[in-house]
Amino acid sequence: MEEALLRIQDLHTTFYTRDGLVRAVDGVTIAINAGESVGIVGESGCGKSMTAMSVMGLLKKPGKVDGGKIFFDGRELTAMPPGEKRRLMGNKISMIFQEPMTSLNPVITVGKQVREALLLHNRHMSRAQAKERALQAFELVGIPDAKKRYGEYPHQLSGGLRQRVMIAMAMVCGPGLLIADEPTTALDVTIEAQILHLMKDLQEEKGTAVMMITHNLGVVAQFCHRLYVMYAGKVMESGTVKEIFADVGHPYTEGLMRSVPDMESKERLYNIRGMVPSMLHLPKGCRFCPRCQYSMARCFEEEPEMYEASPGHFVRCFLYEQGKGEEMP
Amino acid sequence: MLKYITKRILVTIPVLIGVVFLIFVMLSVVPGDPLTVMMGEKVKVDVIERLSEAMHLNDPWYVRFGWYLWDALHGDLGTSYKLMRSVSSLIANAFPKTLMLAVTAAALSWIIGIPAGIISAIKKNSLADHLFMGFALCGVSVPAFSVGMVLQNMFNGILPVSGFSSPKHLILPALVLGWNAAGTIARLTRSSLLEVLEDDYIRTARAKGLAPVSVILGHALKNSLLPVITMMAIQVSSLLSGAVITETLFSIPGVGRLAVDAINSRDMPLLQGTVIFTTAVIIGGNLAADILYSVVDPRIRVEGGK
Amino acid sequence: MASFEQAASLAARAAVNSAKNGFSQEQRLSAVERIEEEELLFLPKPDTIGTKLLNMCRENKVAAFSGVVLAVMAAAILFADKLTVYDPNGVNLMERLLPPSGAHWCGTDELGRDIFTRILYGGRVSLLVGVIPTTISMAIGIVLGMVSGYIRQTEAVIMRLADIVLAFPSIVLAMVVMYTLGATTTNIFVALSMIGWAKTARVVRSQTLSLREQEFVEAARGMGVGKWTIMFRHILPNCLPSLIVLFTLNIPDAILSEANLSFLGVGTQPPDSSWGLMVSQARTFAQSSPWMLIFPSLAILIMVLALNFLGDGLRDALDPHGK
Repeated sequence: MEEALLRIQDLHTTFYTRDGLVRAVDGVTIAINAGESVGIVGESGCGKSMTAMSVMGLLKKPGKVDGGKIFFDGRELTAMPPGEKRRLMGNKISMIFQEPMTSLNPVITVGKQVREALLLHNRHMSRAQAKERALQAFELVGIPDAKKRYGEYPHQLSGGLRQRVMIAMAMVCGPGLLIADEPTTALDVTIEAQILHLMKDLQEEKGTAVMMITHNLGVVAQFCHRLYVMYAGKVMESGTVKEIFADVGHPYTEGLMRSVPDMESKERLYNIRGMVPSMLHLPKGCRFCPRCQYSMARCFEEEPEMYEASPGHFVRCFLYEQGKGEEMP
Repeated sequence: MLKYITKRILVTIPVLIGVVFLIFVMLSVVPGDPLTVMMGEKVKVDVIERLSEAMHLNDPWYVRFGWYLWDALHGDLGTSYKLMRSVSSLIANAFPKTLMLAVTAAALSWIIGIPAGIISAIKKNSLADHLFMGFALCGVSVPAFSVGMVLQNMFNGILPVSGFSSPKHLILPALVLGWNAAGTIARLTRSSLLEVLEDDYIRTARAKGLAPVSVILGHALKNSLLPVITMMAIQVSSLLSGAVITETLFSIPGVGRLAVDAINSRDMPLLQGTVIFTTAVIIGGNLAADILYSVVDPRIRVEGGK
Repeated sequence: MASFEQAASLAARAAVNSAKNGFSQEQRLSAVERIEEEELLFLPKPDTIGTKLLNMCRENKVAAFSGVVLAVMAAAILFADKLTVYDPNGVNLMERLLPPSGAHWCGTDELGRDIFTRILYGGRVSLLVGVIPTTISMAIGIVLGMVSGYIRQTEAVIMRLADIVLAFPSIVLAMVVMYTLGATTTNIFVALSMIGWAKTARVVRSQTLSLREQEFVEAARGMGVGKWTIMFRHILPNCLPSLIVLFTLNIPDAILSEANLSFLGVGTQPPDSSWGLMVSQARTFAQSSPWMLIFPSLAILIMVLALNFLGDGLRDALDPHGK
């Protein structure tokens, strides 16, 4: 198998809080190939954003990566000196965030904020050249009247436009990987569709790999090739979008899918019982079992591994442990 | 923007009138006939009559208030009972000294306070942070005259400790005033910068690959200094009033000293004039602070401009 | 936080039991559902002010230590007569301007009075000046602030009045009030109360403005609860954290104001004594007898510093967004 563009291997990210250790990311393994778009799905607090922050090195205290390795393009990010890693950030790997309203610096014009990334990563570029490139990026992400917008401040732009600026900023250096952390959650539905279209176009046109973090399965279905479902700091299921949507594996994923409103169905909207467990006090055994409708005695005692349900489709559930001869429901 | 400033100025007018009114009423209540204070007991009755007429002393208080306001608008704050000179000219004479002292102290407090606040925020909970913040807190926790007296004794013979005849005379009083101000500025700078560093756009800047130094200088500092700038403008004016203590201690013939002298000699027009003048300057300073803020912060500047 | 653990482990145990006993799927579900109802009981409660204070004492050692220092100082001031053999006003011309010694821990002043004793007794004035006007001014400020925030018609008058009071440099206004009323200790309380309310009123008003829009206030209004009840039963308790902080930080302000007024000659009058007055009386003798200046200054510094540290700690613990 060819080397993945981004390979996260057994990543552990822990928050050292007053009340104890919170293992926000607890042994996550994810691979993203060049040009591929991969969705990371889960409820809020499942560790999907923290996985991204760990890759970017943007964890806030008291969070810390304390186990596992992250490789980008064959180089180990986790072992890189900070200066070298910064040369990749915003250049080869870039990120857009959930909150377009607050993610741009309010006292610097949006143009300068985009230009800054270019000047930072291209030593020999002049300011004029950088402005030219930034304007091209503005046009690329579909900001109308780019020249005028270039000199404006974030508060003068709508949420959708700001997220376009964020995308321009992220794409302007031509990154190999774009991490998008709930990029459309804070936007109106119509704007959401536009932004997703834009990202898909850019992704196909530029061949950028995208790591799409979202709680919205609809976004994944539209946008992604492959999918990882996370729950309470662990990957519960992974596989191609086609495979998982056609033949869902993990009971949690099933719950997520049944929670998506369906216009044709008259049934009451499904919701998964209970809440995401406190990360401070995870249940013993499978972390989903207290909420799982298929849970067995064993689930409360042992933690399941990832079992291959079908080629390339892995599920962390004893129901798929066929090889070991357990009973099926 | 212009609309905002106009509105802001218009709001201060009733406050200013209220200030004059409050002081006027308070001082009218004080027992004692001003003319007796002015000239002693043995004055001819007809002289008192004539003077009372000229000074509107026989009118009811609201008429006198009207006259006072009218005169004040024309720059006439009355005549000092004791010094027999126009209050306006006394203040005009004293104010430059107070201003010089306040501005020196303010400059000192910025030069020390802002860098100390920045370092404390960046190196949060380090030894430097604790030292700076301890020093800052001491500055706002000790009465200015205690510090002043200690300094006077420490530097007696090395630096001038009283009077106001050379720039050297400014050093100690400016230190006394400036320490307190530097403490306020340092604490504000630190808390403001710490708050800004938690903002989302700082994460964006870091995600861009900017080094920590560039993140702070290029992205955090400008935002975090916005409230500090306001505070700086307010501080110049509050230093003017803090000068009451310092001027008294160091025998500097400024406005604050004038007010204290007026109290000691029960010189009502002089006290009234100095208090109203000082307060007006402070109101003006706060107004300037607001306007400055609206100029520096694009969120206000641009919105107002539309 | 422990509640989740309890709920989760309870759910787990019950479910394990039911599974082990071979219950049907339905029975298991109902077991889990039952536990979910119990889980609601375990929802994390927001920390009470008491818990927050305990956390602060545990984490913020400086604030906790400041609290201890203040308690010790207050006790020493209250039991001054037990701690010293001297009379604070006992003139002894034979022992004028003595440096600190075993007999006179902080030396004596120009009339041979024991400075340590005078600091203890003078502390009474400083402490009272710290607490009484702050309490009065905050009581006024709380009522006016709530009223102006809740009853719109009163806002213009009250807040303009606050603007006017806040426009004055506080020391200058206090000076004029003292001049008008006459310099006595009681009038210091009056003067500082007249000035201090405006700041509290502004804080309380802005909190009232945001609280009055909250659901629980609207719910109370919908149920026909009277406006005074809403103000004192629903709004005031929610302002409490920031009021505690404000109270702690207003006391040192008042103490320093009294010191300044005494220095200017319009504060505490001899033969009464306060720390501020002691410092200003030391002025003439500071060169030859620095202990007269140093010890009362230190007393002010330590008390005000401790209050400021405590106030900062309280703010972090109770009211992290209030500045």
